[in-house]
Amino acid sequence: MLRLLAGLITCSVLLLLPNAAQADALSRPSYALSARLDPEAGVLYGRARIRWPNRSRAPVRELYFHLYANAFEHEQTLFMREGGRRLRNQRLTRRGGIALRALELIGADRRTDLLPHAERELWPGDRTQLRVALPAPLAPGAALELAIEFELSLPSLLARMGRAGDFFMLGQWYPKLAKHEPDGRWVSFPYHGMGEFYADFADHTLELVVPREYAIAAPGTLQDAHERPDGTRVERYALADALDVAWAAYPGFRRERARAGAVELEAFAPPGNTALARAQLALLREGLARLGQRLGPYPYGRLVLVLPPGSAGGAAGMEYPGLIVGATASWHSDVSERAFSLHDLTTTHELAHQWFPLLIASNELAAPMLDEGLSQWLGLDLLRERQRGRASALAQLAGLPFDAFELMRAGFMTGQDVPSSLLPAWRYRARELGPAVYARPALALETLRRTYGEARLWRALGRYARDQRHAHPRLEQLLAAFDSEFYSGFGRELLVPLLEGRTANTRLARTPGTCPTAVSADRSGVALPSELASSSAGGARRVERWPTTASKLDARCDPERLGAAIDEQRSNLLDAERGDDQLRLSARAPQPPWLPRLFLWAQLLLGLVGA
Amino acid sequence: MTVRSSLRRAAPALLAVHALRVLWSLLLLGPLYRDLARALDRSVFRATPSPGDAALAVEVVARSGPQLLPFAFVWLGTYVLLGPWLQQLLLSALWGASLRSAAREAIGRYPAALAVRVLAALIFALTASGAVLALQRALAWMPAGAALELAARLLCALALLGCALALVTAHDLAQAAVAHGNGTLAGVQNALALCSRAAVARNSLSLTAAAALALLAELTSRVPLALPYATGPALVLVVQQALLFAALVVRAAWLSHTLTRLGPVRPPPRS
Repeated sequence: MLRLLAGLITCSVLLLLPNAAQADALSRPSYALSARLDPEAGVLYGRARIRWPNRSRAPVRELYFHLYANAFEHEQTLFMREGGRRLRNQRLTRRGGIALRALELIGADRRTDLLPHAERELWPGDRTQLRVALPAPLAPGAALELAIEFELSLPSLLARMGRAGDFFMLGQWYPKLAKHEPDGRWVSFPYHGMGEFYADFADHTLELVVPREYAIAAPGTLQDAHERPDGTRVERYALADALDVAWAAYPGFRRERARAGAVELEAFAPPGNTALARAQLALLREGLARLGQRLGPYPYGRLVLVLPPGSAGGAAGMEYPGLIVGATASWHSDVSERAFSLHDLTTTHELAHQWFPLLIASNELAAPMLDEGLSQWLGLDLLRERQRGRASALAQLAGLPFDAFELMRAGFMTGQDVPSSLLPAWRYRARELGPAVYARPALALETLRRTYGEARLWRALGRYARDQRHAHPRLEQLLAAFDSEFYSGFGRELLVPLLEGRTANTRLARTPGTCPTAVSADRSGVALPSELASSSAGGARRVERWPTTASKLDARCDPERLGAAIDEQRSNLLDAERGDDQLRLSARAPQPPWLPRLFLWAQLLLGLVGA
Repeated sequence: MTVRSSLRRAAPALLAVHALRVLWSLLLLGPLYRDLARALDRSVFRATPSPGDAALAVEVVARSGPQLLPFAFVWLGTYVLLGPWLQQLLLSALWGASLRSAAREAIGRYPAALAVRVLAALIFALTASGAVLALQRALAWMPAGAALELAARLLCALALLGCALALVTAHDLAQAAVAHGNGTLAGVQNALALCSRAAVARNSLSLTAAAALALLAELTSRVPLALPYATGPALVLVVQQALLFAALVVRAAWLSHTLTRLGPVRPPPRS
């Protein structure tokens, strides 16, 4: 009887599973988007059919849309005022924006035009949001359908939107509903540039029409592609359970394909970059395997990499679900797999974004560190793993084993007044974003990796990623994952102070007294476990552990001691002054022979430019 | 006048040019070296460069670099402007002039020498731009393929290298003609007349030999030496300077050869 009961339950579960998946898909919003690109006019004509269920506990009386393309409407939009006028050395030379031609609520028997009562300027001078009232409240659990027609006038390429010659990048190109929270609140914000993805996961279908000679780089599964007698080409894609959808079109694109397990990889690069595209695909393959294993599998069946042409710098370096925009590729782009190039840095960083925030969908505007900081560390860690045992081009040239994190630390430590890494995005000035949101969190994570071990850090990040997959976490959830892996309170005691800007300083000095080889170490700020190493004549070394509970550590008089060093392995990347972590006690200690190389290079340079 | 005898006569000038390079490299990097030395004064190193060395170097460069960079550019710019004068000084010395009179003559010929150099730089910039444009066109036109694209890039780089070698040879010959008493235009005309394939080949040989010596000098600082604090870098420095001076002598030998192409007798300097 029990067996029969168990069998019945198993059968019921198996029968229910597909229905549960279908129900999940039905409960998600869906966007059926179609667009026709007119490159001559620089205009995109689009339609959207949106099905939106109210999954909150409260009735919905109004809808909020993001019309982020309007950030490029004029010089006084919030995005432009916040520094968008000049972004990554790109300037807005041609304005653009999105105009809604129709916005209708589709009822059982009639369509209601919602546009006449729409509020278009929710922020003074900025029309990147739109609010419309519904004729009747939408009850929890009920769904509505909208039909939208829009015309997108394409600006000069800036912040992944617009055109550069015959290259087109379409990011944030369609009317998109803001994030609706379970308590019934809308979380909507104007386009700041630093936050654009916070939204509900949705299913997307895309129908793109372009002139025949254009190649389309779009994410998702290709469902249909054909040419029309009017000289255009149509491609249809489907992308399920994603925060957003973006695409690019360019007649010069050359494609390269590869596979990473079940994931199809496709690179679109300008002519002459086959080797670069292949190298980037190999990097993606390795990255998907490493990140997928540690953070949970990549969620889509296809990943597209776009390498924009040299003239399209405004498109470079961005992530979208299922699509990465790498660094620009040109005639001089590096074709060496061994090089520690800008392409590798960009591609690995954007790949990490496929998890943070595109899958673990934190609010980038409220907590940019949760996506940029984590992705920065993950990207550099991927490169480190790839280059393990191989010297980078820079390291080979200099003859010194450079480390990407050390280079980043050097840049970070020379910056002044870097604010906390835990502020919302709009609180940062443009020059503060890099050090506060990207560099410090990556340095903090790398410090934890070097101090507590790689496996532990990965387990904490993996737990966070798996627990918050397809969710919208905040800092608390990240700290909870660290607490569970390290110890209760670890996040608040150690990670938060480091992210807020406290340093973990250590200092080594001769102990006052008669013995010249007695040294003492002391610390200030955040305490990290460390060690004191002493080197003696004949190459002998002695290492003493320095636990966090002790603020001072003394090494007694030893006439054989040539030198001493705290944190010899350079684990602590957030020590404000590392110069005082070592002490040479004897002239018999060796000096590096690489120092004269500086003069050699200078003389060679002078010989080249002078005589 | 043999190359060997003219080199012997020009020894003081060669030493002066080398000393000037050393002085300028001190001006360029002295402040950075000082900051590095301060950091090194506390540090413990091993004979083989370690990640700690790299981290320290990066940190010192990052802290000091932004303040020192403008001065470095000024010194570099000054040396660039000084270049034509130094080359005329060497050429005059190779003709047999004393260091003092060679310096005086070089001042008199400076405008023409500078004009020749600017012209050469402009021609190179134009050639390089043309090569890049041609490469871009070729890459867009040819079918995709890693090997094919690499071949196109290599071909372009080789063509540019060939042009650069011919240009450097013509430039050196023009400078020699200026040292011979020609003006800018006559110097360039002379150089074009003398710039044969054999001349380019000889110059390439000289450049290769000088580059090999420079590379050897560079490699000396990569050899791990477990030497005491005071003697390690000093020894490397001495070996490097000797090799760099040898490279300068090799280049001077080529310049001496350019002079012999212009004729055995030098016209008297114009008053």
